[in-house]
Amino acid sequence: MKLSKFDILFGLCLAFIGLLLPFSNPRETLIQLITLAAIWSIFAIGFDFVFGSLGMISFGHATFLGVGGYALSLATQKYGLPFMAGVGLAIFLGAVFALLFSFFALRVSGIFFALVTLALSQLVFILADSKLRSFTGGSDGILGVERPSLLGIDFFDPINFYWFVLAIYTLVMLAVISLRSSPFGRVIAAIRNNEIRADQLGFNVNRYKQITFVISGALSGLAGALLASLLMYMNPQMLHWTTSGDVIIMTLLGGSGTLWGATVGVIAFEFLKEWLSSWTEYWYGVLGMIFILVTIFVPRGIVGELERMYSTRQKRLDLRQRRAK
Amino acid sequence: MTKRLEGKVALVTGCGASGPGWGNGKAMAVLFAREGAKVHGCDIQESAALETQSIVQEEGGVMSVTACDVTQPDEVEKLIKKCVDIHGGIDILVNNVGTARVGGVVEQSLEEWRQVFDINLTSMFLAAKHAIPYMLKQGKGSIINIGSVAGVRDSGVPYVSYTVPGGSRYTFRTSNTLDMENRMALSYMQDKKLKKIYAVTADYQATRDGWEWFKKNATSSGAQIAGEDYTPLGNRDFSSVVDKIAKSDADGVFLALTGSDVVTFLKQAGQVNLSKSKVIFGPVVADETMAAGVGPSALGVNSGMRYHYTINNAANRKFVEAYQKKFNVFPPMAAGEAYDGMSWWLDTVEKTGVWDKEKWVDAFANSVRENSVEGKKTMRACDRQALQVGYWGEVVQGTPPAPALTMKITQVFPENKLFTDCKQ
Amino acid sequence: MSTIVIGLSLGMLLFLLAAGLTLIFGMLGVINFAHGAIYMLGAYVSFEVGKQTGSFLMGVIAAITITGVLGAAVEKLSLRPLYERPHFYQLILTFGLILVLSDVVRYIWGSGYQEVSIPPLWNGTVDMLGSTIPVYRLFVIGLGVVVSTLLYLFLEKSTFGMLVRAASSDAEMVRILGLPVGTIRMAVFSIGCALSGLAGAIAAPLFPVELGMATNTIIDCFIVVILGGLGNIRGAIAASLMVGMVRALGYVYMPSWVDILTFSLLILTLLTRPQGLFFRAARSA
Repeated sequence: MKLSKFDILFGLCLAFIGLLLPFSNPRETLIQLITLAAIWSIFAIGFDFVFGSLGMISFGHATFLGVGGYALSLATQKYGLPFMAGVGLAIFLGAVFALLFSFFALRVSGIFFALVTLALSQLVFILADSKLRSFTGGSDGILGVERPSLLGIDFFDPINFYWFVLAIYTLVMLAVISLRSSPFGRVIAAIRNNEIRADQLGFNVNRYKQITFVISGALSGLAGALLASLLMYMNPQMLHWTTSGDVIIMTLLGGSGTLWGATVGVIAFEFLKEWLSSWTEYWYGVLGMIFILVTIFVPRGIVGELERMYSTRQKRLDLRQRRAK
Repeated sequence: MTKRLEGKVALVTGCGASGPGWGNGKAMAVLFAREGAKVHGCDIQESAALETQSIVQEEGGVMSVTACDVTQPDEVEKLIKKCVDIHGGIDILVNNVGTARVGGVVEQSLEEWRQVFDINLTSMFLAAKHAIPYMLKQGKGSIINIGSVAGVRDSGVPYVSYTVPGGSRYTFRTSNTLDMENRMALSYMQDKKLKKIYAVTADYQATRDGWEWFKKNATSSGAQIAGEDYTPLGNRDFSSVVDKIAKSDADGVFLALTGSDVVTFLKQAGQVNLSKSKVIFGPVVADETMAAGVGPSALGVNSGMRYHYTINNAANRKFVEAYQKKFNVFPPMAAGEAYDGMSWWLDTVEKTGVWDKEKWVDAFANSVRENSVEGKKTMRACDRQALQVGYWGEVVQGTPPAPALTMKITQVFPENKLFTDCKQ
Repeated sequence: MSTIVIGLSLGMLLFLLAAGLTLIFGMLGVINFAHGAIYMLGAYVSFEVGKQTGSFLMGVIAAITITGVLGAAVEKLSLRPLYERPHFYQLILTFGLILVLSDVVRYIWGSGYQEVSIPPLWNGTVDMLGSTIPVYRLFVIGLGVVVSTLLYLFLEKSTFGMLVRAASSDAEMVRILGLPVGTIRMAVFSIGCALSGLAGAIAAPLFPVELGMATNTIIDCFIVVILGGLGNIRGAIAASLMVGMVRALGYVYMPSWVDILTFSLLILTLLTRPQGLFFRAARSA
C-alpha cells in the first residue's frame, strides 16, 4: 500500500486547512468541533485498522474508547498522575482490552465476530454502569477531567488544546502511513485479499490479526483519553455499543480501507449532524437515511469515490499521452 | 499523593465540620495530614474536632486536637503552646474559623456585629500574636487567613458580616432534593402506620444512598424490613421480585426506582394486583407521564411530586394556561420543573442587568423566588439547593379535562420539616 | 416452583423475539440489527390500533401486517442491491435502519410512554405452585409453543419451507430451476419481521412501550442467537429457555447480578463452544 499521489495531495490540503484554521479567528464552537473531529478521526482510524485492513467488523471498539477515557480520568483525578502518564495508560489499556477481546473474537469470524464483540462490549458497559460504580462513578460519570499540563501552557484555551490534538493526530497519521507501506502492512493487505493463500504462504494469520486488533485498540484508547479531556467529563455512554455503531457509520461514509477515509467520514458526520440538527430534531433519522443511501450507492465512501475518479482521470490522461506519442 | 509537607507542623482552627460531610477546616486538616504534615486542630465543638482526627488517624496520619474558643485570648495562647509542646513547633497556621449573620446594617444588632468580628477577625489577631514568636524563633513559618468571596464583591444578599459556602460554585438545584422526598416518604410511612417494608432499589448510587437513609430512619422509628432487592437500572423483568413481595408479609412497598423501571415494575406488579394488599410508595416515582405508561395499575401509588399543575398560585395558573394553549394538555411534571428552574434563572440574569457570568452566579446563589410556580423558593447559598415546600400525592382517577390517571396532592410539607440548617 | 414458570415465560418471550432474527439469518445470511426497532414498531402499532379499535387482537394483527409489509419493502429496496457484496454491508445497513425507524416512531408518537393494557381475556391471575401467576404470562408461554411449532412445521414440512431451505443452501440452482428466488427471500425477511412485530405487540402489555425498546432488546436477541447457534431454530428455543431460567433464578437470589450472569454464560459458551451450544454444521431448523 504505497502512498499514492492522491493521498499526498489530499493530505496536503488537510494540513493546509488544519494549520490555517486557528489564524482565521474562528468561533470557539468551531474550534471545539474540529478538535472533536480530530479525536474521533483517531478513533475511526483505529477502527478502520480492523475494518478496512482486515474486513472484520467489530462492534466492540466503544470499549477501547471508553477504557481509554476512564484510564485518563481515573489516573489524573484519583491517582494524581500527570496527564501524559494517563494518556500512556489509556493507550496501554486500550491495547490490553483489545487483546482480551481478540481471544474470544478471533475464534469465530464474520458475523459472529461482530456479535461477539458486541456482547463483550455490552458487558463492559454494564459493569462500568453499575458494579464498578465506586471506581467509575457509575452512570453519573466522572466530572472535571483534566487538560494536559505541559510547559506551563494553558490547555483550557480551546486553541491550545486544538494544537495539542492536531499534533497527536499528525503523529498518528504518520505512524499509519509508515505502517501501511511496511512489510507488516503488506502482509495485512495479503490477508485481506486472500486469507487462505496468505496462510498457505506461511504467515501466521491469526497472529497478524491479533496484532492488528491490538494496534486498533491502542489507537482507540488514545482517542478515548483525548475525548474525555476535551469534554472534561467521562461517562459510560462512551462504552455503549451504539457508539461503536457511530464509528462504523463514519468510517463507511468516508471510505474504509483508504488513508483519509476515516478522517473525512468523521468530518462529514459531524458537519452533517450540526447542519441537520439546525433544521430538524429528527436529524439522527435523516442521518440514518443518508447512511443507508450511501451504503447502497456509494459503498466506497467519499474518499473511495474520489480516489476512483482521480485514478480514472489519471488513466485517461495516461492513455491520451500514450496515443499522442 | 506527594509528601510536600513532610516534617511540617500545621495548626488549623475550626477543624471540625459544623454539619454532616466536609467543611473547609476539616478538609484542610485531612489534606495536610495526607501530605505528611503533623496537624494540630481546634474547634469550639470538641466532638467535631475529634471526628476529623479519627479520619486523619484512620488514614495513618498524625493529628492532635483541642477544644478552643478562638475569641478568648487565654484559650488561644494555650492552644498555640499545646501545639508546640506536642509537635515541637508550628510551621503553618491556618486561620479558618469564620461565621456569618444575615442582615444589613439596619437589621443587624450591635451584638451580632461584634460577635462576627470577634470570631472572624479577632481570632486571627490572637492566633497570629501567639504563633509568630515561635515562628521567628524557628526562622520560618507561614500564616494563611481564610476569607470569603463576599468580601471581594457584592453577593446580592445582605451579609454585613459574612460566610464561606462550600461545594461547586456553579451547580444549583431548583427542584426537590432526594433528601426532601425521602423525608416525605418516611413521614407518609409513619402516617399510614406501615410496619413492614419491602424495598426495591435500582442499582445506582443515588437510589442506593436514598434507600440506606430511609432504611436507617424507618427502622429507628420502629418499622421492620421485610426484604430488599437491588435491580439493575433498566431492568425489564420484575416478575420474580414481585412474586417475592407478594409472598412476603410486608404491608408497604418502597420503590427506590427511577424512570422506566417504575413503569415496568408497576405494570408487572399490577398483574398480580399487588397494590390491593400492599401500599406502594416511593420518594419520586409517580407523575402523569408514568401513570399514562402504566395504566390502572398505577392507581393508589403515593409519591413525592416535583411539580403539579393543580398547585394554586397566580404564577402557576398563568403557566398552566399558557401551556395548555400551546400544547393542548396539562403540563407534566417535567415541564413544570424545567419551566420553574429556567424562568428563575433567566429572571435573575435579567435583573443583574449585565453580561457577567460571575455576577449571575452570585445573584442566583442568593436569590429569592417569590413567584415560582410552586410557591416561594429561596436559594440557599450554602448548599446551592432551593428551600421550598414539598408536595406529596397519590395517583387517582381523573375527571375530564384532567387526564384519565392524574395526581392528587395529598400533603404539603413545610420547609422546616424537610431541610436541615446549613451551618458553616 | 413459581420460579420455573417465570423462567419459562421469560424464555418464551425471548424466543418470540429471537425467532425472527434467527430465521432471517438462517435462511438469508443477514443479521438484522433493526430487529429491535421493528419489535418496537410492532408494540407502538398494536398500541395505536388497539386504542382506536378497542381490540387487542386487532392491534396484534395490525402489528404483524405492518411489520411484515415493511420487512418486504426493506428487503426489496435496500437489501437486495447488497447481496452481491460482503455480508457486513447488509449488517451496517440494518444499523442505519434503527436510526431511521426510531425517529419515525418518535415523529409519529413522541418520546413518552404509551400504555397497552392486558386484554381482558387474558387478565387475572391463577394460583398455582404456591404463587399467584398472571394468566398473561401463561398465555405467552402457550403462544411461544404454538409459534415455534408452526415455524418448525413450516420450515421442515411445507413446500414453501422446502423452497426456502433450498434457496438458502443453493440459490443458483433454485433460480435455474425457474423458481423466484427474489420473492422467496423477500417472503422470508417479511416473515422474520412479522415475527418481531408479533413479539412487540405481545410484549407491550408487560413492558414500558418507549423508544428505548429499539436498542435495549437487541442485545438479548443476540445472546440467544449466539448461544443457540445462528440460524438454528431449535437451538434458539433451547437457548431462550436457558437464558430465561438463568434470569429467573438470578432475580430470586441476586437481582442486581442478573445481567452479569447472562453475559458470563455467554462468555463461557464462547470459550468452550463459540459456534453456539446447539450448533449444527448444516443450516436447518
